[in-house]
Amino acid sequence: MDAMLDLFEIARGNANAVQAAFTSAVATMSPDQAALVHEFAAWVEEKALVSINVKLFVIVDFLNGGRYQNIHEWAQEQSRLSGRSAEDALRERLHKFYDKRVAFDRAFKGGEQFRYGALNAGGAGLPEYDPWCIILTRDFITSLPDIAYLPGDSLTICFSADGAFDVSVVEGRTAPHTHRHLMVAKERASEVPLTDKRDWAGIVASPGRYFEVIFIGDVSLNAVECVRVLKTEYDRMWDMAFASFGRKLGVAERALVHDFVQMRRGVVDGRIQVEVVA
Amino acid sequence: MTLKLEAISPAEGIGIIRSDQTLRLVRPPYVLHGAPVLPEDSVQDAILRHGFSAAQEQFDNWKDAIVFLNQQAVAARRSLGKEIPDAISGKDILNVAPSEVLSSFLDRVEREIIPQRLFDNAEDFLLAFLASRALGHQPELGARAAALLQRNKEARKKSEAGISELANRDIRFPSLEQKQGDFALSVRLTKLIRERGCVFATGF
Repeated sequence: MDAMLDLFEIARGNANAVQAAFTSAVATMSPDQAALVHEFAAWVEEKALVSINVKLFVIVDFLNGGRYQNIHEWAQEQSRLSGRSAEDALRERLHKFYDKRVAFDRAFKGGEQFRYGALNAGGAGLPEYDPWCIILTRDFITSLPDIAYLPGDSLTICFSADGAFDVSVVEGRTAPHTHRHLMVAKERASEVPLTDKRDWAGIVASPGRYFEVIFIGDVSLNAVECVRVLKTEYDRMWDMAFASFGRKLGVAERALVHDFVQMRRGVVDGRIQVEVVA
Repeated sequence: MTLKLEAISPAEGIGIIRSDQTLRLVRPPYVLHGAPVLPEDSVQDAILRHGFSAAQEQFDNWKDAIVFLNQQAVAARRSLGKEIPDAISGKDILNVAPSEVLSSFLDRVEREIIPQRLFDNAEDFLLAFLASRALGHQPELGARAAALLQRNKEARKKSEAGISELANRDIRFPSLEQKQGDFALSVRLTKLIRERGCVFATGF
């Protein structure tokens, strides 16, 4: 068996290379543009936190004392509940995508404990399928000994077109927490001068394009700064809640409205903060 | 028509379903025209990054697909020891609603529910509204709800009076009956058309 890689050690070892790549990128720019990119880097360092997009029931689990599960922990739980092997549950759930997920996670020491998030400097993260965007506290993030940043989705940028895992991407492009803002600024250097400052959050993260954050650590309610959700989704939930006055909701609708009411109760009781964003 | 479920988030009854060549995100309240169309790589994205499970079920129609998604929501939650309640208490909803939402609910009662003559729904909502804790902080909303309750009562009374008046009259063809002879002519024409099986006066 191949020796396992230490993702976080690789990231820490890349600090100087990330700094050099940033310096090199701004060196080719005009003084005004270089200053703007430096300003952008400082803004990312100050504003960007780590987000994880989840479904509503995950937030309800947090409010009930639960913690965030990754797919391997989910498979272990399924195994405990059903008696079948965790590996079978994982294969069934991922089906033809099993090999890719497992190839990445099992290449690294502690890979099955990895949590995947995205850098977020505003907005609802990646809400297409998981509309509720948990923003983790700065204290939580800075307390993590094991955290690494990639300039894109690991299952996209670390695999070749034929599906083979390319370790050189991890070795060459991973950044440590201390240098995350320089990696972001270097990757977006050409876009920064063309982007209104009010839209900078959008070049840090937008659907399909983001900086991935991989870390090891328990995520529960204590680690949550706030939850962001798009106004369209928030209004959709209230529409469903309102509909319950006029008709009997279907069972899945009731499940969602029930979750939503519990989440809102957490807001009213001051246990969780929700920001509705455009 | 064959519908193929390609990925599912069972606990919420959400599916990614292929219909012909189009992938759609199908989710409660299952209004098909509101179901977002998804790009082709969304199945991989949903399964690898967003907690969906791969699925392969096929259905002959949307109704069966939606029944399946609902069943999955029940089963997934039951497996975790969670039951979905039979009903959501209106009071629970209103107690956690912020003032702008409460206000928008009253707008909808005023602009949609009462004009559509859904008087029972309006009354149920407004009574729950007036009994909710939310009003403790929003006395002006309480006054508005009380006024709407009164308006709903008057609209119901007016509507019932109208129905009762109609029931007491033979109103099948009032305009024809008012014109002497027109009604009798219509009856004769109807008979003729039925006999020849055609609206045109031809010999074919």
